[in-house]
Amino acid sequence: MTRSRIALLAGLLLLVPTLVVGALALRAVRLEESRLAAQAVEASRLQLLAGSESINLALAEVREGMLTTLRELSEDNLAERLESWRRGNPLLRNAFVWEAGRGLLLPAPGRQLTEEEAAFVARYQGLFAGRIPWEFPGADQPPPPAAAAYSSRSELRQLSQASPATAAAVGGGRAQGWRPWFWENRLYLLAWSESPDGRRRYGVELEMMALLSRLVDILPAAPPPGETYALLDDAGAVCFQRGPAVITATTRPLLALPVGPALPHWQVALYAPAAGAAGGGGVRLFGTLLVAIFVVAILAGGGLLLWEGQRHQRDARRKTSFVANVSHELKTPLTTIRMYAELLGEADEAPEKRHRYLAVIQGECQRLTRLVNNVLDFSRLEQGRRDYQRRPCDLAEVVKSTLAAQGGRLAAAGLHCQLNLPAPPLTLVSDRDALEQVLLNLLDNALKYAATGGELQIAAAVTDGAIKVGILDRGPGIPEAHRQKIFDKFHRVDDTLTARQPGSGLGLAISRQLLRDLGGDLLWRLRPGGGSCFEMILPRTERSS
Amino acid sequence: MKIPRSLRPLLALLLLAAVLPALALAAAPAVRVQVSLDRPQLPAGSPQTAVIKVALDAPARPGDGERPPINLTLVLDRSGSMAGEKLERARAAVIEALRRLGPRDIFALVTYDHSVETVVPAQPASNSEWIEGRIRGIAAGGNTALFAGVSQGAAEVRKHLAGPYIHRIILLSDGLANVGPSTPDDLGRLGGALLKEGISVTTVGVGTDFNEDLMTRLAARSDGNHYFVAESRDLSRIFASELGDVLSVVARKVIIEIECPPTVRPLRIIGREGRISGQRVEVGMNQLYGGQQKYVLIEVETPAGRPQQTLELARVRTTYENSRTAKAETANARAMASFTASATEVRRSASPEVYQAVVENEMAAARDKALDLYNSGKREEAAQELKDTSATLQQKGEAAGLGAVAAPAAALSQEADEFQKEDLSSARKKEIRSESFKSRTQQKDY
Repeated sequence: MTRSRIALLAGLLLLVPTLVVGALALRAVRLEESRLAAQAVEASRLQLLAGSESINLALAEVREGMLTTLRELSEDNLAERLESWRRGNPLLRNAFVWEAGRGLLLPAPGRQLTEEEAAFVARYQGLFAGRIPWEFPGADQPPPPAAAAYSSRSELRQLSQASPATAAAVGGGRAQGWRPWFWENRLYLLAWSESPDGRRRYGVELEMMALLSRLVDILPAAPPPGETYALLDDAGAVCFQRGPAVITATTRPLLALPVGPALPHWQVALYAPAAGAAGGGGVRLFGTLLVAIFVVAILAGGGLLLWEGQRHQRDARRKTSFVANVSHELKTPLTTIRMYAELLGEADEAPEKRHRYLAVIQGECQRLTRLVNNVLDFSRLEQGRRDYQRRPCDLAEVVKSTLAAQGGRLAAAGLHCQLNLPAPPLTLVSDRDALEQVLLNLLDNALKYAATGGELQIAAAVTDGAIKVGILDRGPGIPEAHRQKIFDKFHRVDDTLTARQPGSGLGLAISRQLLRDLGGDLLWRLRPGGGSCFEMILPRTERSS
Repeated sequence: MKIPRSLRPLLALLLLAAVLPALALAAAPAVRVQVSLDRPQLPAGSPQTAVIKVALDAPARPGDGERPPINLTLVLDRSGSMAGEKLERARAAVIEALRRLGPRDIFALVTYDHSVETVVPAQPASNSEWIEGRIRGIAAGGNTALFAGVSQGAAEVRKHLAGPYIHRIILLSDGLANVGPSTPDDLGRLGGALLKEGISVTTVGVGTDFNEDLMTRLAARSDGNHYFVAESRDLSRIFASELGDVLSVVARKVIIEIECPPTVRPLRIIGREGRISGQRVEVGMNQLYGGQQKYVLIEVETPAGRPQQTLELARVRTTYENSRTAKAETANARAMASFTASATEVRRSASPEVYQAVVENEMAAARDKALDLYNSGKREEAAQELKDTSATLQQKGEAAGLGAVAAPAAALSQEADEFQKEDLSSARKKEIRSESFKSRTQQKDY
């Protein structure tokens, strides 16, 4: 079957590239999606870095400012100066002066301490008692690895801020420090300086609340939709956040970066709960949908074209064979007629012979007429131009008269016709000519193909609202493969030019069309015991059509 | 022109008469300082304790006078609990407040749930149509990031910190702070830091679910007002009252320094927070409102005096910035006491006004302390504190011959039963806190 092979090949040519292109497109969508996700994460990371860098810078400013002020603070009346500085500066919480050997001079040990001062003294007891070193391990040293990602600007800044203290320490032997201090799980910051003679150490404790309050501006004011930035304290709790996410103790950040040495263990974090995934998922869903639509559209369009092509090819083939058949059909009776007409022209023929020749010529003419009528009918039916003359008529009478007219041919073909009609008159409203034409077509078929069966039975039965007329023969029947197609236009079981029986392949198609136009139908059934059964179904009353 | 010699003095007098009122007006201080003692006559012969009342009277500004512009930031809680009527009333109150501001005033609005949003960045209040639209768009939902809200509010105020404004944040919340620093101490210290920048935070607690300790502490430490609003329909009134205060500020950055001579020892400040270092006492207020009196009570210990001796107990120096002229002004006063051997004299001289102030403040302080004890589960001690204070105040009152003035202190012993017996309702606690706050800061009734 080359034809089906070509069709298969065409189908494959359509299907395979489409699927390949679809798969590639899907892959591209995935790649794009992961690229977008990576880009978003990178952007967020940069945002976080910027946040932590701003915090570091801000704290560096504070630290520089504090240390410079401390360095430049005059020695005389130091305690009073520190106190007035503390009273005026919102960033300061406590001030102290400590002398080696004498302990704390401010807050003054003699008088009654306020609650705040008492807490301060208790908090830094370890420091003032000398149990804990004044220098913070890791402070004033190169940034830890976590800070390696900071921009060069930040590193420069850190270097520059690291230098004065170190320089002073080397040059004048005057130490300064910035001391993160942990007490009862909270972070405190202490800035201190040593007096030039090295005996006293004095400094201030930062007001963390004021400091944090100032940092509120550091996170992006309007984070991208769905994203939430937060500053997490050393216990991992949210200090403040920007963005819509509700962060609980169990919420895991998408990304968290340490703020750096300025606030040890503090982090800036990014939360993108489901929102980020939904964005990426959206791209994937949308992309996949697009690809699917694309693939389906290509397959459907291509399939439709293929199917149309096949159909046209088939129709063209049928029409070719129809034309060839019809020409053949027309030629056969014409040849016969010409031959007999020539015989008639010869004068020496006996009169009885002449009668026979005339009868043959007449028969062939009738056959020709039927053929031409069929072709004409077919084109009329095709164009929907056939007019039906619906009138009450008696089906039994129609059957009988048709049989009577064809009796000679039937008898000549050796078909014994058996009529089996019910008693009451089978009246119905229909087009008598159309009914006759259908019957004629069916009888013709029986004559052509089922004459060998020797038997033809015509039976009618009345059911609710319909009359069924069966024409049953004992012919060879219809091969299985053709049963679905016998009512198609131009279809012939044997459509080769050398077919034993002439025909146009239109009889059954026309008959079914006629009956359907009249509100009935024509069906084929296998007759039990061999042969075919064509069943005409006719509505008893006229249906409006 | 020749003027007869006899007329010359008259002319000079006339000129003086014309110039004097102008001089007086220009020199009229915005704040009058009055110093009084609970017992101007102290018993001689033994060391005594005396209470010095330093009252700052700010006359109401004449209505037509130009008032200093206001830099106001409203910080509005829009957490889930505010949903419904509360938020609706709050929005209406905010809009009403906005309409009271003039074109020179600065207005900003910050809302917070778990995150903070600057709904209206600091800008002149003249653009009220746009601002009102923004206010109406506020919807409720989420947690309570009070710290971040106040911080953002402060950031908005800071944009105009250098200008000649009265800086004020009004915080409205109905719930417990649960994001970021949330303890009364933390927020109190934030308030203290803001006070150093001249920013006061007025706290408005709505309903019965907010943390009254946090809200009063924040207001107290930043010298703002505190309002307890049980019913949200009172919000408009409260905002009006608060704005009335802010609009009538006559002096800012008030510092009262009380210096005692070496023989007199300052013991404590009654009611207010302040600093005592050696012989010096310092109390600060961020602002004084016109038509209201604020005062500071300081208890000092005097040495034993001889009869007829006069002793200076303290020199009071008050510095402030006149908010109308934006110039620093100073007012000084002295507290003088004399000693007498006669107990009748002592009793007769006793000042009911000062003693009433003492009673009110001591009661407020005792209630606050009792509530602290109660909150930490020490109900017995709380009741005892109230009973002790009640007894001491009444006893002292009797001794000073001011039993009638001390009579209200009896109420404390009844409250002691309340503290001891049943569980105090949340609303009652808030009432106690806000009443104490009012007494201790002389906030006007609302």
